[in-house]
Amino acid sequence: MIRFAAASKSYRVEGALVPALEPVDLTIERGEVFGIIGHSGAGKSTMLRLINLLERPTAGQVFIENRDVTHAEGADLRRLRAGIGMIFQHFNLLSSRTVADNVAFPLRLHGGMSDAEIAARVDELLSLVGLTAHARKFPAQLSGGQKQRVGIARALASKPSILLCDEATSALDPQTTASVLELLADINRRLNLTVVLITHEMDVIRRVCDRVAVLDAGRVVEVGDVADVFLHPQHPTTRRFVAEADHREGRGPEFPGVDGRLFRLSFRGDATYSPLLSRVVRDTGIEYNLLSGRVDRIKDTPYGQLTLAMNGERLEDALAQIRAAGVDIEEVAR
Amino acid sequence: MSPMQTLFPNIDWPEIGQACVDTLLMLGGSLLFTLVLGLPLGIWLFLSARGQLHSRPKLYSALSLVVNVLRSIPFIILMILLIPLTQAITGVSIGIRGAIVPLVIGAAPFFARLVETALREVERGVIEASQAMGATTMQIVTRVLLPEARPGLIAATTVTAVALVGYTAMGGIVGAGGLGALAYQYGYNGYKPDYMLVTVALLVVLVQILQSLGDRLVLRYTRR
Repeated sequence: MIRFAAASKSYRVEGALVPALEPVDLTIERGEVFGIIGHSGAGKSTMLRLINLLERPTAGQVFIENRDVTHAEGADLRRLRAGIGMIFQHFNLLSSRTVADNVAFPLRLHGGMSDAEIAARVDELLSLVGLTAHARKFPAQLSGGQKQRVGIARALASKPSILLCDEATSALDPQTTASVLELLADINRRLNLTVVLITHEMDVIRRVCDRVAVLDAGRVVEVGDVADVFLHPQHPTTRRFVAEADHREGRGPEFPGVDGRLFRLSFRGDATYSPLLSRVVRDTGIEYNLLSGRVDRIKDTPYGQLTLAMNGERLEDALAQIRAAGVDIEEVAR
Repeated sequence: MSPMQTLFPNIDWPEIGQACVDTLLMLGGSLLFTLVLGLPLGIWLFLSARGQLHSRPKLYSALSLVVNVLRSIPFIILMILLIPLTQAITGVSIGIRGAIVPLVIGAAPFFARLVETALREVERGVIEASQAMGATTMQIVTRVLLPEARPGLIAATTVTAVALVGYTAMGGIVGAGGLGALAYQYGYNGYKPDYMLVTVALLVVLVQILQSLGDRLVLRYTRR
C-alpha cells in the first residue's frame, strides 16, 4: 500500500518556489494497477518519483506499507528502493552491458546471491518477458519493445512489491504498446504486484488500470475506478482525455436536424451484451436513432456508451426500463 | 659509406635508441600517474557539479579554478615553477624522473576535464535508473558511469597521451632527455638537420601509433 499524506513538491527556480505538485492525499491499494494521467508538466512524473524518493516531498509524507518513508536515508533508502521496481519511457538500459547483464545488474548491486543463483534468476526473468534468445545481445541491437521488456525484467529482478512505470509505452508504436501493456497486466495478476503508471494517454489507462487519478496543473482533480471516470468524467480535463481516447475531440454533442431528445446510455459489465434496447423498443413502441457510440472493454470489463435520439409517447416508461436494467442514462443538452 | 651514413651523416644511432627508450619511459610513467590522479579528479569534478549526484557548487568552483589555473600556465613555465616540488618528491630535478612530476601536474588537470566531459555524456536516465535500483554513489561510479563512458574515457586517454608526447619533447629543453632533447640540442642548436628529421619522424610515428591504438579501442567498446 502506498499513501500520500498531504505530500507536495515545489522547486526553487531563480529564488522563487514554484509548485510542481499541490498537496495530495491518496491511497494506492496493494495489488492494484493505478494510473496517473496528466498532460506534460502536470506533475505526474514528480508524483511517481515521490514513491521511491527520487524526489523528496517539500511538505507532507509518503507511506509505504504503513511506514513513513519520507526521510529514509542511506542503506535504509537503498533497501526500500530495491523493493520498488521502475521502468522508463526511454528504457534507461546500460548500453555497455548485455541484456542478461542488464537484468543481473540490480541483483549484483545488493549482493547476497551467488553467480549461479543470479544466472538462474536472469533466465527465469528473460523467459517471463520472452527474451531468452536475446540474452547475449546488447541493447542497441534490440527494438524498442524488446528494450522495454529488458527494462521490465530488470525492474522485477529483486522481486519488488511495487512497479513504477514512467510513460513506459510513450516511445512505442501502438502494437508494441499493446503487447507491453498486456505483459504489465499479466505480471500484475501473476505476481500480485502493485503497479503505478503515469501516462498522457487515456487508452493506456483504459486497458490496464483499475483506478485512475487525473492531474491538472499539479492538482489531483479526479480519482476513481477507471470505469466510473471513463464513463462519467466530471472535471473538464478528464472529459478532454476521454474525448481524446474516443477520437472525438473538438466535436460537440449536438446533432442538428435530429428529432427527439438526446440521451447517453452507459452500459457496464454483462448489460453490455444483453439485447436490452430491442426489448424496450418492442415493449414501449418508442423509436430511437443511434447517433454515436462505442462498445469496448475497460481492462477486463465490457462497456458500451451510446448516444441515442429517442422519440415516442411512452418515452418515460422506456427510460425507466433501461434504468432498471442497470444502465446509466444522462440526457444530453442540445 | 653505407646509404644510412650518406643520408644521416651526423646521427649516432645508439643515442637515438636511448632517446626513444627515454621518451617511452617518460611517456609511460607520466601517463600512468596522470590517469591515477586525473581520473578521480575528473570523477570528483563531475559529481560535485551543480545538479549532479553530489552537487557541491562551491567545491566544484574551487576544483574547477585549480584545474583551469594549472591548464593555463604554459608547460615550460610550469616545469620551472615545479622544480622545488619535483626535488622534494623525486630527489632530482632533471632527467626522466625529474620530468615526470611536471608532466603529471601539467597533464592531470587536462585529463580530468576530459574525464568530466566524457562522464557528462552518460545519459541522465541511466543514472536515475541506477539510483532507483538502490545503487550507492560508489556503485554508480564504478558500475555505471565508468563502463558507460568507456569509449569517451579511452579517447580522453589517447588525446592526453599525444599531448604528453608533446610535453616530453618540451621537457628535453630543460635536460629531461628523450627525442625532444635530441631534436633541440643537435637538430636545432647544433645545426644538424638529419637529427631534426629523424627525431621528428620518430615522434610522428609514436603519435600515429597512439592515436590508431586509441581509435581502435574506442571502436571496440562502442555499443551504441
